[in-house]
Amino acid sequence: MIDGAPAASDERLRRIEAVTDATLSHLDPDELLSELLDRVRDLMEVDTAAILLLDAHARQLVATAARGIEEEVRQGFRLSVGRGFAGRVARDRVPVVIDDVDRSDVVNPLLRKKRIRSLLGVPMLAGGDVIGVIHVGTLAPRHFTADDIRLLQLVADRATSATQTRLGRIDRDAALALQRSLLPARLAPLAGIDVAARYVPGHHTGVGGDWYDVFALPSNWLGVVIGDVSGHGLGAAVVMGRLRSALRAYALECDDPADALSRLDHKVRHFETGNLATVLYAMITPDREHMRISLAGHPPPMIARPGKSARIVELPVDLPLGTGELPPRRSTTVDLPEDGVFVCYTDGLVERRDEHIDDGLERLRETIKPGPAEDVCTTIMLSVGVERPTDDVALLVVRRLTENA
Amino acid sequence: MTDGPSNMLHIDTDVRSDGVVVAVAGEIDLATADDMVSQVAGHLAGSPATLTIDFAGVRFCDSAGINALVRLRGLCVEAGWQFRLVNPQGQVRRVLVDLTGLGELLNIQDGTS
Repeated sequence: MIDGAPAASDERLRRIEAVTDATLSHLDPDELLSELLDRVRDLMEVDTAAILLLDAHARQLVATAARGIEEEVRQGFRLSVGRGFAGRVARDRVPVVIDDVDRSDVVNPLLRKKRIRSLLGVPMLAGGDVIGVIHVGTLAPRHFTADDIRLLQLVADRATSATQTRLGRIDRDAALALQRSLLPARLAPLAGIDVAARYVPGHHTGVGGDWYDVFALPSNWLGVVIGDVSGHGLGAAVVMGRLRSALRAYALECDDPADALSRLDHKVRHFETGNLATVLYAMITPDREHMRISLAGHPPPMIARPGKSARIVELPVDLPLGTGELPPRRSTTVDLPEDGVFVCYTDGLVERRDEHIDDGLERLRETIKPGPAEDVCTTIMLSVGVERPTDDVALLVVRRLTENA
Repeated sequence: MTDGPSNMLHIDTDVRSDGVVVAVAGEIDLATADDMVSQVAGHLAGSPATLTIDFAGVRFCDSAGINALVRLRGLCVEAGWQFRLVNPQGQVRRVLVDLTGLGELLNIQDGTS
């Protein structure tokens, strides 16, 4: 073996590849952090390697992954930013080298107990912000070189993107859990009807401001709701949750849908600012023969009876909720034919930028044929072709069952 | 004359003796709605007059656009100004008047210059 530049740079390349290779991408973010630390420990010939992530609210670094000092993680070790070695790295946002721990202010009792002699730490940076610190340590005295620093920074970059993915997933999972609780895929069965629904979010978070709801009332009337809170993503979904819940409360007290929507409007005016919402609220009679419907700025529902094509239900349209005005609201009585279907939806189903709204309404109308509610939903969603909507789409189909069903 | 910052929306403002006429053209959606509000709101100063939004050139307006119009109307009410929206076309008119029921709130008028 000949010493010289070519061998040294081959070695550099090998080291770099070991921490950036594509197989790492197949790992779960938590596994990836551990795997990275394993490789770092081998490559850099150090005894300990650890990643601490920043808890921004507490301004503390939290030990998240470690090799050689696993107790750090097990004990949930925390360090305030600015304190001690890692805290300094995070505060100053620069690599820090400690040649001799004994002559420094290293605070971590675990590092001392382990008899670490030398330390190197670099910040983990994402978009200019510190999100954590990665550090390595040796039991024998070591002078970390500029190459070592550069390599650890490369590792820090890799660990940063894995961490961002992990955080993104946690947020997304939480948002989806919220949405699933508000918009169950399977609706509880209710006497005399067969009901099904679809929801397709228009936002990458998987959540939005559209909602549907079906519930029985103590009087044996049924409530059927479809609504659309303006805005997108989690902000709209949170407002939607409040509206959905408040409308249920008013539904318990009101005999008439216009009355319930007026109260909801009043609540929105007082408590919610900046969000308009369109809503359809229908109440179905105990014998399931009729519905009372009130529309707050919402597109018209459609009804199909067996043997006849679907029709758009002509209803007066009152203002959306949240305009600041409290107009008088109107309810209209409509027949619900036996074995017929009642279809309500949000505008994402029928509105296309390059098309007149009436064409979208007509296309929906032509698609509706009476049948089991699930089938009607499937047929509508297939023919309307919502693969990548930019607006949320919600669809609710209620079929009135025959007496013998 | 002012051009909107997004090339999907153009805003021309004409300050007259009896009020301000804002001609909007293009598409009003999530990307452009806030621009419309901020550009127009600045004119609601001085003694109360009429703000006219001319929609003759608007070919698309979604819920973000509707939200913005209601907000603008609210700002007018606070400032003591009158609000009206004139010349909405085709599907925009259908959505604003027939489907969302905003004809009265936004004081929508046709065939006005």
